[in-house]
Amino acid sequence: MITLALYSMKGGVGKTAAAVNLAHLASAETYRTLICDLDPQGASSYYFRIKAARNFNSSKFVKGGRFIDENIKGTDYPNLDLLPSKLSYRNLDLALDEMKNSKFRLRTIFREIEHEYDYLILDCPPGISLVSENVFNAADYILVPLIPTTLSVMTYEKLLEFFTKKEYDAGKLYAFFSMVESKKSLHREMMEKIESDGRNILRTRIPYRSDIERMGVYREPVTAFLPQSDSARFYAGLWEEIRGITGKGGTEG
Amino acid sequence: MDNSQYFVLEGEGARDDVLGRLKKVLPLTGERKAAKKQLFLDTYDHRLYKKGFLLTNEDSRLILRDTGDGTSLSLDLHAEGGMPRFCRDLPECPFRDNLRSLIDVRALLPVVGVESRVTHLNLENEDGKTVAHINFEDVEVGDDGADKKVIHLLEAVPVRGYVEEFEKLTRYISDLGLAPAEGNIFSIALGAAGKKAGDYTSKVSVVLDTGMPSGEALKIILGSLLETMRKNEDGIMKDIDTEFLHDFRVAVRRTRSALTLIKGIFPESVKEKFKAEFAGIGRKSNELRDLDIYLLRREEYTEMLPPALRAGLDPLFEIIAREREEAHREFALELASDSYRRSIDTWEKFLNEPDAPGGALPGADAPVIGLAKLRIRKRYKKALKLGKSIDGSSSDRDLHTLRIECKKLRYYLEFFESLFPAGEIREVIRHLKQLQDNLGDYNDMHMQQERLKGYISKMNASENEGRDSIAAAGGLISELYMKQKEIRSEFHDRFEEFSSDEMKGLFDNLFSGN
Repeated sequence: MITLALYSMKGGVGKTAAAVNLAHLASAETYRTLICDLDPQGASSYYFRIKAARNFNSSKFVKGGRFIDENIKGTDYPNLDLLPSKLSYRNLDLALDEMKNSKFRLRTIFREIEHEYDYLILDCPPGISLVSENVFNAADYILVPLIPTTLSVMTYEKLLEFFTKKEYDAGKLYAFFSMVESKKSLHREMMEKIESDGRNILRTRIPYRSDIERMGVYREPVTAFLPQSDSARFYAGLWEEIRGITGKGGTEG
Repeated sequence: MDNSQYFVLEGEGARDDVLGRLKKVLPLTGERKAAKKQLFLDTYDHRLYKKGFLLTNEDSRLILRDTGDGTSLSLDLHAEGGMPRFCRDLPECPFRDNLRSLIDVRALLPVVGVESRVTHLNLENEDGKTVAHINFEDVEVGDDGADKKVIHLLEAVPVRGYVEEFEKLTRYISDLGLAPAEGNIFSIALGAAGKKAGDYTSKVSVVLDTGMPSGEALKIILGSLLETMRKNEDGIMKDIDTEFLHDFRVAVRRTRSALTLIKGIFPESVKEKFKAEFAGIGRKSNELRDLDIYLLRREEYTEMLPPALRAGLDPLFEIIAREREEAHREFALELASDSYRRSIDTWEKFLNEPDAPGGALPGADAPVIGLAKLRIRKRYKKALKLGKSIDGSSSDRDLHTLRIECKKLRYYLEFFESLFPAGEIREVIRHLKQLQDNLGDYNDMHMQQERLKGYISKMNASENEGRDSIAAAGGLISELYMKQKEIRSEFHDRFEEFSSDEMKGLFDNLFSGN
């Protein structure tokens, strides 16, 4: 199982949209895929019309084992399951803190399902917290959506500093441009500058498009309800790059 | 829990009625129709089906479905150059690895073809989320022609995490008076074609009764072994895969072992005649089986050698492959020969005619339980005695004798398994198996080394190719020798478990008295 985290310190950068569409694309290629919604807002759960069971909560989640097994739900797409989040995930830090080896807890509980899935995709909450540090330890690749603005780029620099200071493996970090408006000269200039810095920047740029926003209305991945659209094609390009990096071959699962 | 549940519909007309009634009580949406043509593939012994998997050829794809959790893997056959017969015909990929863990070295065979027209519907909850599916399927089973059958099915498909909804759905369907069908589409289609899924087993699968006369019980055991031999003859002759011969040989060995039980039950002359004939059949297949094993080990041997020596294996395996072809031709001729057919036919005649002249002796009427207990006890004692005498100075020959003795004990336990409490006799067999594996591996390492030494003498050391092969064979021999030593060092632990007080107690409990 390969674990991909969609993560950003900053909110509203297109994390969930990327998580949902990448997961759908992976599953469509018959990779057994699980999205784990870690965000208390539950946006990815909402996109798949999935609600967690009433008695599920953050303390049960961090216990893992049967609590995870019983709460994974099949989406409307073959090979794609989802572990929904709850509002109580706002206390996920506290729940993790109570566990032994608290920074590695997510890694431990995900190991128990590693034979069931080819890809585990983590839709992470924004911020830097114990949850994020768990994600840094659990993920094989951390995908960071980057809006090409000064503020967004500054936040990314901070993340890199944090990785250096805490000795996390910055080689896991891959950024990609998100919500790009190529008509804006600022966006174009920022992208050029960052790409010339030569870090792990993926080539595909996800544009700002209203059909991506409309996912909230249709409650389906854009790659499913508008597979021929521009937006879907960009996600397909991004997926192809990521699949290549993770070492999986063509369309066979 | 993720398994589909099938229901059988009476005739095509039943569908509209059932659908109409279900729609009244359940929010069914997204109705769509599809047609598909599937060819189900499995091994001869239906390994995939028995492990809960289905393999189909649909269009130009192979699809491997896990019926346990509904997941599937697929492979484009166009890209892979056609239908594979063995896992080794596939390129390295997750599909191959998964398939190999299920079927190992067995060949894939077409089992049953179906053409279905499917009406698919979703059951949604209040959020518009699909929580279960139903499929109405009109399924044509079999090839074109007279034996084509049509069955009408309703399949309820669960979605993970929505157990209650699925139970509600199947309850509604049952309430309409539809009977749940056993099994999955593979076994149902096979049933419609007049066959049974998973009905071949290489195990001794007889069910005996403690009070059954010994003569009758023995004939049931021997009859089932004869059936296993017969079922495998065709696969050996057509050279479908190596396991036909393997199962055939095990049935022959078991037959010879069962023949040692007939003292006092059937005339001694029967035993002598057929023991000799089956020994002959077994012996004539030894060479072919040995060579089969070699060819199957090619990958393993390659791994054992350092890369620099690996090329030397190619000429070696060319020789083995040629010898194997010849050995196969010879044994296939043997199976087709009049003398083989005559042996088998007379044997069958003996088994079917209990009162033939020179038939049963007085012992034939005694209850089989007494025979079973007495003979298993004796075998166990003998195995213990032989095992205890093994020490550091024991020869390969001594270990071989113990191995054969354990094999006979194992066969006896399997013949009479149905007479004893399942849990306890399985436990005895499990411990015995661990000891047998140790002895078997040891013997195997020995035989492989001997054979390789034989090849070395055939190679021409004055040619480069010959020198490479000699080096490769030498490398393998030393690797195998190391392994053999390691296996030998584990023998005493295995034997101690087998001869522990706990095991002795189990044997006493199960097999004392009569």
